[in-house]
Amino acid sequence: MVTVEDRQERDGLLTEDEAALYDRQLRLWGVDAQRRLISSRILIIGLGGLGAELAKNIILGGVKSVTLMDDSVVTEVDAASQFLVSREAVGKNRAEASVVNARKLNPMVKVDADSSNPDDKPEKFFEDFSVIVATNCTKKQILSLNRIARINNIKFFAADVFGFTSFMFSDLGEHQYRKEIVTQSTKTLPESTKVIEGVSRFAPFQDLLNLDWSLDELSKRAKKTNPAFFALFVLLDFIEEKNRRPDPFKREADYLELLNRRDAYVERHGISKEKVPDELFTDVFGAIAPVCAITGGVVSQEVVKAVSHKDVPLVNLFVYNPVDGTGYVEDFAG
Amino acid sequence: MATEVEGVLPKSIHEVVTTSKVLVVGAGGIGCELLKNLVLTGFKDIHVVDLDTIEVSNLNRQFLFRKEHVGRPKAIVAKESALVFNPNVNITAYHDSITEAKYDVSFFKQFSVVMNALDNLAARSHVNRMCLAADLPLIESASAGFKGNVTCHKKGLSECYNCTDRPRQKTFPGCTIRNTPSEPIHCIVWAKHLFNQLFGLADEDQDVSPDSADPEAIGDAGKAALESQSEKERISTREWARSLDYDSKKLFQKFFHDDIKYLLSMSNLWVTRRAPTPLDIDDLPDAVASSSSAAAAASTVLKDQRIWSIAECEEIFRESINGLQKEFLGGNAEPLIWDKDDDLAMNFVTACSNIRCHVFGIQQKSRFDTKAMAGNIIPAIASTNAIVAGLIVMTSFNVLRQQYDKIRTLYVSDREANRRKELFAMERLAPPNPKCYVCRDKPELGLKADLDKLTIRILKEKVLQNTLNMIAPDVELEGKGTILLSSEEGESDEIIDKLLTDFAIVNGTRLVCDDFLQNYQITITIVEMKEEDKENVRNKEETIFEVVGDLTQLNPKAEETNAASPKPSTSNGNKQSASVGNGDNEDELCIIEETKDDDYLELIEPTDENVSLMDTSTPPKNFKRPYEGTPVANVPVKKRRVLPAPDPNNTLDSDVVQID
Repeated sequence: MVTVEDRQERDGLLTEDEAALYDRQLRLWGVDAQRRLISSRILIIGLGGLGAELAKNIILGGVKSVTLMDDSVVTEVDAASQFLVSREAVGKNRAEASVVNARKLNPMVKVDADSSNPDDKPEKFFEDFSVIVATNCTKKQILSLNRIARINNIKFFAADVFGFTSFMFSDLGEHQYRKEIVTQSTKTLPESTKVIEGVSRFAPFQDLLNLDWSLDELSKRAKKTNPAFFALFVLLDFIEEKNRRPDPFKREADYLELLNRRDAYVERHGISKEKVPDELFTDVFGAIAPVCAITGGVVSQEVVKAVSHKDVPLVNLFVYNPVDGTGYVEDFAG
Repeated sequence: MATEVEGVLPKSIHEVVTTSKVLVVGAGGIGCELLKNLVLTGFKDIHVVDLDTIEVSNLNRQFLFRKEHVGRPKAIVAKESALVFNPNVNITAYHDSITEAKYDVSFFKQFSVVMNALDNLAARSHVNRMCLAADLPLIESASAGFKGNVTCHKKGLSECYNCTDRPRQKTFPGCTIRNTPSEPIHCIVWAKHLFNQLFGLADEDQDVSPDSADPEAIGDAGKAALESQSEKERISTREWARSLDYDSKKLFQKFFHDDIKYLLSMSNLWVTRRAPTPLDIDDLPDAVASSSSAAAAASTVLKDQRIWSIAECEEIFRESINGLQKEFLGGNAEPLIWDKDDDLAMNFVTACSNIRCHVFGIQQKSRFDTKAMAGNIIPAIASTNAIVAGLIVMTSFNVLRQQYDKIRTLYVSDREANRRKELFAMERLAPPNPKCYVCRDKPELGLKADLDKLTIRILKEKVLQNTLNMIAPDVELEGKGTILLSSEEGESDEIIDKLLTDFAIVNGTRLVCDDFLQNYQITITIVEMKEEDKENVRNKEETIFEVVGDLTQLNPKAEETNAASPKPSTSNGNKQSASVGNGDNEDELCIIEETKDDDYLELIEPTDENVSLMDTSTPPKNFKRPYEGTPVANVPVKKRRVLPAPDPNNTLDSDVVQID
């Protein structure tokens, strides 16, 4: 058995134990990608239901280290989706309450808890990480972390779940990737693998917030954009201004408030009100497990792509629309 | 649980979640994620069935299991781990196969919905029938690599699991395996057969010696004599090895020198092919032929990733034969079961297949790659399973509220969004196929067969069980009440190897086939194969039977027209493929069949030489098979299931990312 300590000294090389444990994923993304994974350090901010899913997938994936950061405490709302904390942990720090079970997922990964607020950390603190995934953060925090990530060449993700809906924003800077294309064997030619190389470009979070849909070049596009994207901007505004998330205990009042904000938003942006239906705001409370699982799965796969430089990343905003029952990706960088 | 916090779930969902009883079939990759989601969402009464035990290679994704659980039953450990999330939930775990008779229709009827998290077609087909019999909605799911799908089957409302074709086993003609391999997989299959011949359950259909009856090699004259000669040889392979005390040098000499020389003597085989080179055990190459690829060189630390030299292969051949011989003869003389996770068995197959590859000038494969092919390993990761399991629960909200119009089949696609920018492409549920041999009223099929060869055993095992996925079939002659096959143990043993013709079964005889447990009955009409077809079949070692669809509804005229001018719109869904398995990958892109785990799947095992389930040279009519080509006029044209891809290259992408 390789311990965490051994692991730290064996950067970049896979042991036989690791090859056995990671067998099924090595067959998917290859030894080189796994090598890059076991050399990467991941910071996960926010340990709600989504943070727990991310921690699970990323730790199982076999990175070098994961730091769980959260300055808030476990609440009873967490019981709806946070499977790393026990039911007795209500009132305890969320990162510290999660770390024991997180470690058990994979003894080969170093997992730490940090109970501070990212706002209180010096910029230097973040330089050590290969990837920052920020969940449960305010717009202001996302902007600040995105800026730090850009300057320091750190792959950056922001994601959140609001009841039945969710989003993921990613900024990998100018991201180079390789993609393998396997052609099936034919009568005359055996199966072969072709590698293509590409670059994806991302827009920072600031650009998304500055979007003005009433501008000529965007108004056309707005018609083709899934309404869940507009609903997301309304939700982010709500959280920013009220300094809290929609509250299941204030379901009715918050719902009405969101509708008012929606009205103001569509008017400001010259979007028709019908485009963003009321039902997008009915179930935005807490975080339910299946949506955390779906979103956590999507973000974790993007983290693997970001670290391994393998396969084409999603650019650059994903939303899950529970009314349609699917997720959408919109490229705001181009 | 979400239900414990007022206001998280809307009332309508809160109600169905707290009052529904759910059956989860499978506690593997998707099952673990699903149990977690169900418990956290607030489902209060969950039953989970799984027959498997935990292995190390599960731990990278089946997060309810940890190293200390290896060897324990998945269902039981999954229950224990999931209960930690909420001790107030009722989870009932069964370490069992869902096909057991005790899980009958009345067992199924206690549930509100069934969720499949399975990894094989047989169990899926079975649960499908149980849900039809119990009139229960079934949420079906699958994952492979980065891809997955979720759909819902509801009797009368949407198609059942068996309404569409399901890709079957890839098969290889016996001659290719025994005489003329051209791909690594042919040598791997041969090596597995050799394992069984020497140590396992000797199967006469898994002969490894040169096939002198290869129609390509000789004319008809003297064929019978040669056949009987090879017959004798086959029976004695194991005896012969035993008499030599498994002397690895002599075994090596026979399999990689003498037999190859014999093959060379069948000179017709090598007119257009590269002839094999017999190996001399005292002069083996110790350099590796094709290990120059950067990936292989870079990963030399891992023994599994490296390609072994032939000298190394011989050494491992020797070691594994010694080890296996001890296991085989030392124990209770039980035949060994080949298992990819058994090091000796896996080493044996890697060494043998690589030596044979070398002999035939075929590219050698690492143990890692050989294992994937020999064990039919499907790559799997936690994140895809998490997405799929999340989508299952989202689907269940609509199923339990009976809002079927909102339900879509969802495809977790290849890491990029489609043209409609959906990351999970959606498709409306298809209506039931009126010709489905499972869910239509009074299903009928025709069985075209060579009656000179069709035994009750072939009818039972190859037709009713392997092709039609029955578990314990009874068969009687329609109108006569004669029982041809009984599901009661032992009752049919005496007659099982008799021909159907021994029971006066002729062209046009109708057989009523019944699986009591599945509450499934189908009438099969026997159609005698034409003489020239029989001849063809014998020469090419192809199928001696063919399932030909409902004869009462055959409409030859419409079929002919259709066959002559296939509709372009269906070309992707029903494409004809001349070569089995490899040709048609577009369907594989989207209809993902077998899921997460490999462990009891034998997808690439060839069926025996005479009976092939995948006779694609003559696509059956009506009865839809995976790679058949001819759309039938009155079968509703199914929408193509290929996801629109934003990047043209994307459509070429395959399930498995090759590492070498």
